[in-house]
Amino acid sequence: MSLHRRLVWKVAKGFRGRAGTCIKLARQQAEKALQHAYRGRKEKKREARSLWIQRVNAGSREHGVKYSEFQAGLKQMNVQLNRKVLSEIAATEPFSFQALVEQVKFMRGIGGGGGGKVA
Amino acid sequence: MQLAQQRASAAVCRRPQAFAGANVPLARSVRPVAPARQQQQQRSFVCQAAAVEAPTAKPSGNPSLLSVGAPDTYAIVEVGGHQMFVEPGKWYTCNRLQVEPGSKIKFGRVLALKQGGTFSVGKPYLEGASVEAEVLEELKAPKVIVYKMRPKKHYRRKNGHRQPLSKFMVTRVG
Repeated sequence: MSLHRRLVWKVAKGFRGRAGTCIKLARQQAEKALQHAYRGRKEKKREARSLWIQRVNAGSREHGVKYSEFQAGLKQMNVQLNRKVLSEIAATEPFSFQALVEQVKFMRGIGGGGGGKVA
Repeated sequence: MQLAQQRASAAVCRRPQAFAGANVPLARSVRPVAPARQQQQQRSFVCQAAAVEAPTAKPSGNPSLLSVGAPDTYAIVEVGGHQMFVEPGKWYTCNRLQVEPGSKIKFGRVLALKQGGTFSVGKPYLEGASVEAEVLEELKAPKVIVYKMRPKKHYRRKNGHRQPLSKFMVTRVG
């Protein structure tokens, strides 16, 4: 069963050209829009996570630690802050984030801090 | 003479050319279709280091953590499958908690805590730290239409979804 006309106009009002005025075209474009919304809701989560990782990477590289090593160090310390929160800490609290990075450096033996690499 | 007149008339009727170097004003004024949008404030990260130098930041319409900088005391708690920054005196929404609205609850899974200038991180949770809150109401998120369609295969599904949420106000962080 196709979309009810009420819903079609709710979705397709303001679309360009005849897709915003003629029911036959608007119905097709409304279906497309809803499918794109479904897909976009899933992609939004992926993109957000990718952005957080980039930010954490940038923040940790400022102090000489790559993202992969940083995550490995956090896992070793059993710190379960997720990427979203880590990225916000890195952006708004540089000193606290630096402390975390220094701790990771110590744990992983990077940059001359502590002994050799912890297996 | 005729040629010049024709050229002049043609020039008047012809639209002004928009190529580089042509300084021709528009023949008619632009009619605004929608009211002029207010200039959106440029969002930029405000971090502690910058906030110290410029404490008087103009608050924008929707202050978020990244636009006003980190507050003085807050906790990072794990609620409803998400981790969130909570400050005392503010309300937040999370996935539906199985408690009566109006009751007081305590969040025990505190991942990090900032209090009085010290930032402590738990492994994974901080001992003895908790966040007390009061559940304000139970609400539902705005409706999301889940529509699936396979073209030319006679398959269409339409469902609506309203996520059940809870709203809680944080009373104490510590």
